Amino acid sequence: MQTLDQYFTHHLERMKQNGFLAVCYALLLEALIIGYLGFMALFTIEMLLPTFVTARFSLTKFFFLLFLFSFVLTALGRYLDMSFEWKITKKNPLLWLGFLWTLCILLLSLYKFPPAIILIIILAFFLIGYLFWKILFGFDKDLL
Amino acid sequence: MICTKPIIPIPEHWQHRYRILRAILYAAVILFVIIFALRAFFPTLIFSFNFKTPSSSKNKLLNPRSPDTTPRTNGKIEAGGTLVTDIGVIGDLSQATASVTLEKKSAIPDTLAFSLRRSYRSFFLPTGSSVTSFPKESLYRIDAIYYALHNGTLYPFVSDNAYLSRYPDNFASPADKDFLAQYPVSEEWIGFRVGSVVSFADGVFLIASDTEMRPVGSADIFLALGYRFEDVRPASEEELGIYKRGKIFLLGANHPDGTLLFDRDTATYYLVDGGFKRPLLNAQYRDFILQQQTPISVSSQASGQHADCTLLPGLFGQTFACTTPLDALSAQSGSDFEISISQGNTDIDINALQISFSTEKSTKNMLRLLSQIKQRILTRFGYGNQ
Repeated sequence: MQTLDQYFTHHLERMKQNGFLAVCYALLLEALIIGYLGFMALFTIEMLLPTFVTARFSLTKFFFLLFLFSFVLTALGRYLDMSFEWKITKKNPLLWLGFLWTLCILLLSLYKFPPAIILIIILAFFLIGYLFWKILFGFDKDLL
Repeated sequence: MICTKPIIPIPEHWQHRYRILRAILYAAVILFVIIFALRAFFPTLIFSFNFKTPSSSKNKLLNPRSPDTTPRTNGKIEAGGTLVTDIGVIGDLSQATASVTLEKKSAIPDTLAFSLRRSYRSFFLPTGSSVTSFPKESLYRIDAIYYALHNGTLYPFVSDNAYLSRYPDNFASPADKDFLAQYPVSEEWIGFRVGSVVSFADGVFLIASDTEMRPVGSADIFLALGYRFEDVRPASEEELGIYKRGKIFLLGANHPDGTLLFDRDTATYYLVDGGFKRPLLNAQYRDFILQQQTPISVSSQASGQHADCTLLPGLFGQTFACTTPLDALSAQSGSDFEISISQGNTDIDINALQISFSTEKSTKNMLRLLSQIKQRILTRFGYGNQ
């Protein structure tokens, strides 16, 4: 067992040294970005035309694969000592595009709900989102 | 970030291979998009029947039976026997693939043949006795209400509209209130002629019997069944109030009794009635129905055409499959397929039957799907017809 571990460690180290893992990391990251964008597109179509996508293609399996490979990417990133700095500012257009997309999806899913309920659900959704944001990224470093 | 520079620095000696791998990644993405679009625009329609769970709602093949209409929902076929089933499909189809999976303990047949015919299910019904006269009825008109006299009871028609869908005006003898006083008047109303197509609000309904009307599943189904919107008779809430609402009329269902079929090859009219298609020989009755409804056009020649293939064993021996082109079966001859599985020298026990239809890759089919998408989006937001 130990020999097998040593064998893999040795090979991983070699692949890290010669740059192969860096290539894998770059390709996987790019594939995942395309994958998540594709998922958003398919999810939007599904919201507009219920069952149009899911009758032909499993969005659940697709998302599971994306999620799984995200973990692989994270593990690979740690092994290669690569990290991304989250530079999400209010001026970032991606943030606003994501916000708009989320809003559109919410409005589509809440179509025909009473207006007051729509308002409450959207407010609750964004408040919960803000809370998670603060928990995950906005913690006060002085507290640590 | 995408399509420009690498996301992370790539060692110099890997640059060339990285570019190739990146190109492969993008090619795979484009290929996936193309395959998905093809599957979306030209779907393969799969219908199956699991003979171990014959009452399952997942079974889409209709009414598995022997040629003499004995149910065969247990999947057992005797030597030389045939399994017949039906399915309704919309679209221009290019080929059909049949796959038969036998039970593990089933004997292996020496031959297993797959055959398809295309028309309407109602035209595949056996031919019954001819209709040679108008339905006999004693009809009266008293105080602007039409009545039919049965067994000493007067049954009122729910409206003039309903009466005129069944009989010409001159069939009813005028009578006075004294006549009305001679007979009890039933509380049951007589509605539209069975087989009539009526509309109320956004829905189109088929009058399936004297007491039941069935909503048609969608406009596509309505047209695929051979009906025309021009023949739909508007009805009021009161007129339809005498019926109970039956199951939704979907593709593959038999036309209801009273439906008029016209065989364009032999110029023969048939009336669907009690599990038979009966030649309608009475010119007066035929012309009366024709005034109200365009007959469903059928072709005896086209419905006699077959698409066949011999099912061959797969790798594991218990599954047999074959594919046959559908060029010989005209899409104009109807939306229903009659599927036959005939076998040779031994009794067999089928576990599951699956039929896949591939859609013809044509502009017409793509435009049809785009039109359906548009309609679905409009309907979703309350602007389209159901």
